[in-house]
Order: sequence, then C-alpha cells, then structure tokens
Amino acid sequence: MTKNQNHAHHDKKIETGSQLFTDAETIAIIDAQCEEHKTSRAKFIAVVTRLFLDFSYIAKTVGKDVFSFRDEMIKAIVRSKGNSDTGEIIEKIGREESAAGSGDGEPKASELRGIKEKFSGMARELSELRAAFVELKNALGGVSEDQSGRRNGDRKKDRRHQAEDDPAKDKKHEAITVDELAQEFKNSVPPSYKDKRKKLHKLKF
Amino acid sequence: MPDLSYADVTPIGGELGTSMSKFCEDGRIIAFSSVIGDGLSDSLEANWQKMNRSTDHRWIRNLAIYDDSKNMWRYVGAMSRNSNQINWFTHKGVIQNYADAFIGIQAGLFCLSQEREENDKPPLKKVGIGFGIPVKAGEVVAETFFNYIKSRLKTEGSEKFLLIKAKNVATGEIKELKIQFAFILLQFQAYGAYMSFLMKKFGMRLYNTYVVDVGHGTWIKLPVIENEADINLSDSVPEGIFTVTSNISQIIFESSGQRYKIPEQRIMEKLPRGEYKVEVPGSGVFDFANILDNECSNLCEHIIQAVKSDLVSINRKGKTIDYFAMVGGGASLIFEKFKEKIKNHYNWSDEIANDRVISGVDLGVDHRYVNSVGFMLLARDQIALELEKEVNPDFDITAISTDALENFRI
Repeated sequence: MTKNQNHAHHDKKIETGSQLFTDAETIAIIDAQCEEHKTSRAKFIAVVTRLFLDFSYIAKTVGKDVFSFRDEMIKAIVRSKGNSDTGEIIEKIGREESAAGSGDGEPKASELRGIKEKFSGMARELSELRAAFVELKNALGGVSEDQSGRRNGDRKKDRRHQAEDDPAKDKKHEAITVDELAQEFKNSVPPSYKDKRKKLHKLKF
Repeated sequence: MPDLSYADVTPIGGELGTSMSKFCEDGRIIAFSSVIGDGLSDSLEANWQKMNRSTDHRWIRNLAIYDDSKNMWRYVGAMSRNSNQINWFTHKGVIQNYADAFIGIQAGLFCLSQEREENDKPPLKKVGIGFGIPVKAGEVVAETFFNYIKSRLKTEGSEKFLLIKAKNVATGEIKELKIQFAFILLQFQAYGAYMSFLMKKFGMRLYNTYVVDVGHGTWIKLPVIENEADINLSDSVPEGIFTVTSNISQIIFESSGQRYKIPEQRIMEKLPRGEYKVEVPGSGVFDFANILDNECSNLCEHIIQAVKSDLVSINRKGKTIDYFAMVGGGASLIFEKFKEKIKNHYNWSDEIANDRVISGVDLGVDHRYVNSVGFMLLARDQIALELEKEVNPDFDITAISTDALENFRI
C-alpha cells in the first residue's frame, strides 16, 4: 500500500467513524467544545473517550457505575457548597439525559459498553500508573504513606471542623488530592493467582 | 508430566500456636493446648482411671503419645493436667524442644485420623502437610526441625512413615497408626491466613495483604506483597492476650487490697463467654470490663505503631496495601479497635474500612483457625500443582473438636 493509499484509507476510516454522530445536537455540542478548547473533533473525541474510561475505572473501584458515581460527585460538590437541592439537580440532569437519549443518532448503551470493553486494557494501564506515581512521588520527596496519611487526615479533619463551625462560610469547593484519592483505592485489576502459582520448596521424604 | 504419586496424598494444615495447636483436614479442625507433660507411672495411672469421674472420654481430651526417644508415655494437651511438669511447644514464638514439637505433630495427625474413623472414613494413610512455624524460627531452624522430623521417621524402601502409638488414658485403649509422609511445607504462621483469604475472600486474585495474628502469647505481623511474605518486616512480638489477662489479674490483686490473686487462666476462661466479672474472695465481685478495654487498647496501639512504621517501608518500595487482616484468638477482642485505627489513619469512610480491614468473620471461620485452614489449602494447592491440575479453593469447616471438657457432669 502506498502513502497516498494509506491517507485515503485513513480518511475513509474517519468518515466511517463520524457516522456514529448523526445526531445534530451532539455534533453541535462537540463542535462548540472543539471551538472552546481550540482542538479538532478527533482529538476531542479521543480525550472524551479516555476520560470516560478513567471515570469508569474510578467508579468501578468504588463499586458504582459511572452515572451513579457522577451523581455521588454532584451530591458531594453541592453539599460542599451548602446547597441541599441535590436531588432536584440530579433529576434535572436525568430528564435532560432521557430527552437526549430519545434521539435516533445517540450512541446506544451497548455501543458504549463495546468501547469500554475495547479499551479495558487502558484501565490496567491506569492501575500501573498509580503504582508508578506512588514510586515517583517517594523517589522525589521521600514522602511516606504514613506521613501523607496523617497530613491528609489532618487536612480533612480541619476542613470538617471548619464546616461544622460555620457551614455557610465554607462555600469554596476543595479539589481532592491524588494522595487522598489513591489511598481510597485498592488494586482494581489484581493479577490472578492462577498465573502465579508455582511449586514451592517442599521438604520431601 | 503430572506426578501421579501425589494422587492419593491427603492435604493437612497445621500449626503449633503459643496456646493452642490446630490441625485441619478438609472440613474438619482439631485443636488442643500446646502443652506436653510426662505420663503418670503405671500404678498411678491405673488409680487415676478408677477415680476419674469425667464422662468425657474422647481421645483428644485424654491423649497420651508414646515417645520412643524417651521410651515413655507423654500426655498431650488437656491430659497434661495430670503431669507433674509441663512444657509448652513454643515460648515467645520459638519452638522450645524438637522432640516435644514432634509429638505435637503426632498428636494432631492421630486426632484427625481418629475423627475420620469416627465418621466412617478410613484412617489417614499418606499426607502432605502445610505447616506454620513461628516467624522468629527462621529458615535455618525450619530446616533443622525438618531434619529432626526426618530422623524420627521409619524408612521402608524409598518411603518414609510416621509411626504413632497413642493411648486414651481414660479408657486405657491403645492404638497404633502408620502414616506415610509425602512432604512437609514450612511457612510463616500468618501466611496460612493469607492463603485462606486468597482462596475465599479474594477469589484467587493477588491483593497485597498485611496480616496481623494476635495469639495468646505473641502477636505476629506479616505483610504479603505480590504473593510473597515480606520477611524483613515480619516479626513475632512476645505480647498477646496473655499480657492482657495477666495485667488484669495484677490490677485486681492490687485493687482488692492484695487479698487474693485471681489466676490469669480464670480471666481468660471468662472472655469467650462475654463475662467480665470475677469474684475476689474477701473483697466482693470485681467488674474488669473497663480494665479489659484499656488493656486491649494498649495492645492495639502497640500493633498499630508497628503497622504504621511498616507502611512507611512498604510505601518507599512503591507498594501499597490493599487489605489489612487480623486473625488469631485475640482478634475477637482487638479487631474492632484495629479497624477503627486503620480507618482513622487513612481517614477512610466506614464503608471502605469495612471492605479493606478484614478478619476470619469474612471467611465464616473462627479467628483462631484461619491459619490452619490456609495451610491445608497451601498443601492442597501444592498437590494440585504436582498433578498439573487447578486447585479447588473451596472449604467449608463443618466440625471443630477441641480438648476442652465436654459433657461436664459429676
């Protein structure tokens, strides 16, 4: 295959891929986002897919599907801003989703699952990245899990204390640190014992 | 090529704990006090038989094993109550005497075999043993102990047999048993617990697990990282439930105007029944619930300090712990405090702490027996590997026999 043929083949693939998004409203959203972030459709979709997988991984780790996880996050954010109408907000999002879901061009849940399965390997990569991150962090700063655990604990306690004192003043949403997040995770894709079984040194008679 | 000589090997798990020795075969566990004593003279023993009014005539309660290295009967477990002098198999996590420990293994295998026979099964014929040794013993001691065991086996052709001569002192019945030894696999005591969690709780997935085994005389820490015990961080500390009950006994003694010292054993006996009051002669009833709580908190604090220190080392290696497990007889008193401290350390929610800090309850097995079950699984896995088969990870403990008095009637 020549270089030109390759290009043609690639273009055809992109064209075929774009057939996924026949829904004008979705395309308009994508284009608006591309405009806002000064990026191309292909790049935007790649990033969105990656983000979806990241969040699926996080959601799976805490035992939720990605949508319930999003709802929990919304609740937490709204709570941190002192607003109690979380149920209404989530309901509103749900209504918008159902309306959007009724469009013919919307990717179906089964398609999303397909994409998720196709890229499940990336979830494993994330797990390895997490271990690498901890290693890197220690190599750079020698920060121990023990120390960071206590510091994070103190920070969280301080925050809670603040909130208890005057919830109205604590309007600012604080981002959770990678440390805090990592400590709540256990390995979501642990290796199988079946692959690691080995004959041990048995004392034979 | 599968080694078919392993096809008829029965997997056994066992450990000589500081207080109790436990042996497991399939769904059955036997447990007896880790203590041995010399037998009575023939005439004294005959008199004891005549005067013994206990209706509990089980072998495990009235067991004597013939020690051919000393040419005498030795009483094992509860039966040693009649011995002039007793020896514990281990002290501060170290095997005290190989000959005594060897009798402990004979006693364990005999009782398992006896239980089989009482359930219409053939006696044990050929075994592979997963055996827990104290962490402090180390590999050299393990090898020496193995060589000692080997020297005591009878060779027939290329095969090695363990001969056991046992006596039920209450009934006078004597039985002999010949068991072929296929292999013995020595591992650190708390590793058995890890195997139990691996096979049942973790669904054969490898999670980094920090195991704490709180026993009678010691507590053991054993981090298992990527399926390997971290030997540098493992240790057995000479502090356990005995420390707690001894301190309670001492406090009662001092608070009661030093009238009477309640034996530590009496306090120990009350704990499983959830009784926290003891009568002090001349001083009235003493409620030790608060003291118990404080003593357990102190012990837990010592444990948690060691755990935190190890977490620093583990983290420096770029590793993290997925699960914290607590097993052993002391877990029933300490576990909730331990979970709370781990939860506070990480600032976890209750939900996460309940998921990540685990105990024998997660397996449906009493804390005390989790190790012996795990060693049985370890032996089972090794047999399956030799046969080039998948291992069956299932277990269901349906019967536990101990040397504690049953059918108490006078």
